[in-house]
Amino acid sequence: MSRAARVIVAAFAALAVAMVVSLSAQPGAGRFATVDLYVASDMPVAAWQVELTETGGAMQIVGIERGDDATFRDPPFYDRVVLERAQTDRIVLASFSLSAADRLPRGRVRIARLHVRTTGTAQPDYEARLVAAGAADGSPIGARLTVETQPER
Amino acid sequence: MEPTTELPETLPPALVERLRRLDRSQPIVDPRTDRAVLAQATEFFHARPRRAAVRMRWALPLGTAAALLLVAVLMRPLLLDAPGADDIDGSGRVDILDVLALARDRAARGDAAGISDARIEELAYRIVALDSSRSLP
Amino acid sequence: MAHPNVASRVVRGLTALSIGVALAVLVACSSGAPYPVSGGASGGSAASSDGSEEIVVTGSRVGSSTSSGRFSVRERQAAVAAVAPANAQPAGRLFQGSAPGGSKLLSQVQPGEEIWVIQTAAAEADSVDDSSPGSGTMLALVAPSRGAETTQVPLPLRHTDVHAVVTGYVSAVDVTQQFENPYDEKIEAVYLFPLPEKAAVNEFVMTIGERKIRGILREKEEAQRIYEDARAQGYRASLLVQHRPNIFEQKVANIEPGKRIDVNIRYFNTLAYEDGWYAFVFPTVVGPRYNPQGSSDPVAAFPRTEFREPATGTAVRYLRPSERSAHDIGISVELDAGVAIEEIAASHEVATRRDGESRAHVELASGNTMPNRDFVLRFRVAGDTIKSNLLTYTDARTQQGYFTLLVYPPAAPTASRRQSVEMVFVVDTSGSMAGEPIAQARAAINSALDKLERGDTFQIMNFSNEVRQFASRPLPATWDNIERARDYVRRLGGEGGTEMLSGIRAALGFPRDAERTRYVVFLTDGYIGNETEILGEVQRTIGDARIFSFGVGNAVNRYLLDELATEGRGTAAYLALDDSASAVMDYYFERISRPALTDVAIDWGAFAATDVYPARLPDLLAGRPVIVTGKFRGNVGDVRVHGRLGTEPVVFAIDAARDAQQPALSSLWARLRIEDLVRQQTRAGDVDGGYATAIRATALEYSLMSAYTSFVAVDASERTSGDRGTTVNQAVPVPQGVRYGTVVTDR
Repeated sequence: MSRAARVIVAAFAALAVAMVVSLSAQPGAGRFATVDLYVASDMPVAAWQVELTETGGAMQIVGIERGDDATFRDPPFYDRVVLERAQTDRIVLASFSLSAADRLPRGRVRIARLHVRTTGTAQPDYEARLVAAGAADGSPIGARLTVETQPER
Repeated sequence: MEPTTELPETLPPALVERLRRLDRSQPIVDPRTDRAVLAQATEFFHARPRRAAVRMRWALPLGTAAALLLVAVLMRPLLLDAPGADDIDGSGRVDILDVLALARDRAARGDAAGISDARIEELAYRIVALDSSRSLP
Repeated sequence: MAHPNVASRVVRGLTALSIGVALAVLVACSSGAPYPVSGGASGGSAASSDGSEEIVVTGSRVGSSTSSGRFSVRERQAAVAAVAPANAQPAGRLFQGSAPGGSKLLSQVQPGEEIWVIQTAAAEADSVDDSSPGSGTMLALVAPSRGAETTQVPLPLRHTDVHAVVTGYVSAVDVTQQFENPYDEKIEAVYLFPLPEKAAVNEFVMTIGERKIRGILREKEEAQRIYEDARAQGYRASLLVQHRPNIFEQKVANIEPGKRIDVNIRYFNTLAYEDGWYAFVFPTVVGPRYNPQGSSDPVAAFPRTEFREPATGTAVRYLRPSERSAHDIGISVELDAGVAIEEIAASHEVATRRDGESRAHVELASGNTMPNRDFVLRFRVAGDTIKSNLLTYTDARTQQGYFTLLVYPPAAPTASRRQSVEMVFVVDTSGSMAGEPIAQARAAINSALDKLERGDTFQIMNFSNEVRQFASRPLPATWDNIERARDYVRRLGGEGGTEMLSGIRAALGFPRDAERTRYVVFLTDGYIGNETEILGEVQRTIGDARIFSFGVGNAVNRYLLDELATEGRGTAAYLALDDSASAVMDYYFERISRPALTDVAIDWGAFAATDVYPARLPDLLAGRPVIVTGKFRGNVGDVRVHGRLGTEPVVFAIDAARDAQQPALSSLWARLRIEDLVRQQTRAGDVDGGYATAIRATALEYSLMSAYTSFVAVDASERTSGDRGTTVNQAVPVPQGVRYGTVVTDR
């Protein structure tokens, strides 16, 4: 094989390798996950307000969904302007229902789901605070808030 | 020792006379100098009392106004932005429970409540606003 | 050290392997997405025993030099390269004739149609008018035989549901598109559709079963990245992109076989008002666009079976006339006029239920749900109840006020002799205007010619591939000249491309008449893809002329026509195929030649109005108010309108402001601001500079769709199995009255 031919062949080989590597690497591809907010209360919950903070700087919300109970406003209230203007590390969600007490959720119920996308290697770190929870008559009630994230598949 | 015009009768007259002379002794000042200084001092002090009076006259009202303004600025968050209008349930803070109270009122009284969907939504979006959310102690 | 022979063999083997990999990768990257073919035959012979079939083709003169010859009809079945279920029928047949000139027309013939070829021996004539006989070969139009076969084409869009709530002159509209995968493989559905050009789109929700996922607005490129990421990883996702102010593209990824995903869009809009009638318009189909050479962002018209994407821009896929999809549309409108409604009329058959004097519920009747023409609902309110008024809304969060001011002109003065005008009629004679549209345009011009008065001058121009004109310069409106003009108009047809830019330049470019105002009357369906270029030309050259645009057809490009009128300080009117051309032209000609109020200016007084749109107020026509929108702070004060009625100055006050409790006012204002920025951007020719930044910032702040922002929603709760799925473009019917063969490029 002549020297010129060897050079050409080597170039092809390098190109092949580079293309295979670039196709598999996909730099910048995001990962998707869900963040579920649960409220647990002995009393029927008619209204709730939650503040969620992400301290890792990796959260990008790509969808907002109400919880399991169909009587609540769909979707929950949130600050659209800030959320759509820039990446944010904080969101306040709230919703209410005018259903009668016997039709409201009791016990542990999912109140909202966020669909998020993260990029880079940082793992998101969530903190949630229950700002307010209320009963059907409008009186405040005690409740516990938990956050569950579905691992990225 | 302050001079005194009262002389004890028991002192010898010579001593009394010497003490009187001491009492009467003054620095020697040319009367013309004295008059000139007095005139300038008079002129100076005649002007000063008026400006001071002006300041003194307006100091109190201005100070009072400044104090009120300061109070107003400090108290504005409590007075002008008081959650009174939005604190529907009177809890002292504005949150989703106020939105619920508004919505329940409207559901109970209908149009008579004078509460529109827009009003309920407006309050709801205020409580979730990230740049202005605030709760009162 | 390895033996040289072994080393050499190893090197050769590795290099061969590398070359093979490189070539494989190159081929994989350059080819389109694979199209699974399941069932669906390709090739095969015709059903008829003698290999021929009677066909009908829509008639048009093919030219005097064409001889009929003898047509040998061969049947050729197109290969089916489509995603189709096993029992799908082949998508049509092509026939080729041996006669020159006839093969093109014959290629458009559909199964079940008839072709008649007639040739006379008479002297050849140059007439191109189908309505008059002549010589040469004519392919005659014969109605298709009964029971002509239509092919049901499986496509993902099953239904569009439109629900509008109209309060006064503001409408809030919910559009829900139901996508359902009829195939046995996962798909991505892509659908190009229209919305009113001034629609402020600010809500986007993806529904999967009982779950509703609210999407978010992002910068266009970022939204695209999020969508592509989600799609590549198997997540269900949807993306809404704006191609034009009135053309949007919906993409829904990873719809599994048999499954359904709905996408809901909400927008606000204002209704047009004229002489007591409000009009709510919902467009249902994008008309096929002509894109001149060099168009930067064309919207092509492809047949349904064209699977490749255009090199630039985007493309609408069209169903053949014999094809149908299952897509239908439902429209319901809740009216609350605020004043008594006296009459309701609609372009389609509707069911109406009244609820008191000022309210009504109107619904599209079943059996009338094919989405191939604009839905227009008009309702008339009592003539004396509409007055100039001011509506306000204050955003409690920002304390920013927004207002709309309806300026209604005072009663028209008693008739007096109008000033002489220079009328320039510019007619679109491209292929999409062939048939009914050009007939309407001819009728409209003839009506207008009747209205010309002594002292007027006129000119007629028509454009398709090039511009032609009636005379070298505007002629006096004498009886002789008008009769010659009628003859010219009679010979106008529809064929060829749509070089509208040339038409604009011709109409505005020749020297102005110092004694007459130039009124340019534009008649077109607006089916072009270079709106930006055309509007930029108008901005630069309009001067003191006026443009009055007439949209001719049932699904016209309202964005272009409204913008032409705005830039031209005139108005737009719409002439549907079943409207009376003479009535429409009579009405407008009367008004445009005698405007109710000119030189309009608003004295805001203490009302601190800012960012007011339109920035330039047009002349007001009798019965036709203008809506002015803007921002304000502080207290609302007296507002006065100044203008001229003929030569007399006029001033009138506006009624006290009313707090509208209408949050839509802020979205409507932002939409107008974006529109104004786009106009300035067009004028400056600055595509990606400061105007783009300002548009993006406004759109994000007010959560509105724009050319630089898109909605995206992702369901991250689970991944679908398999690869990213096949892209299926939703094909649509051509607009009613438009001929498929003249506008769709068959490949």
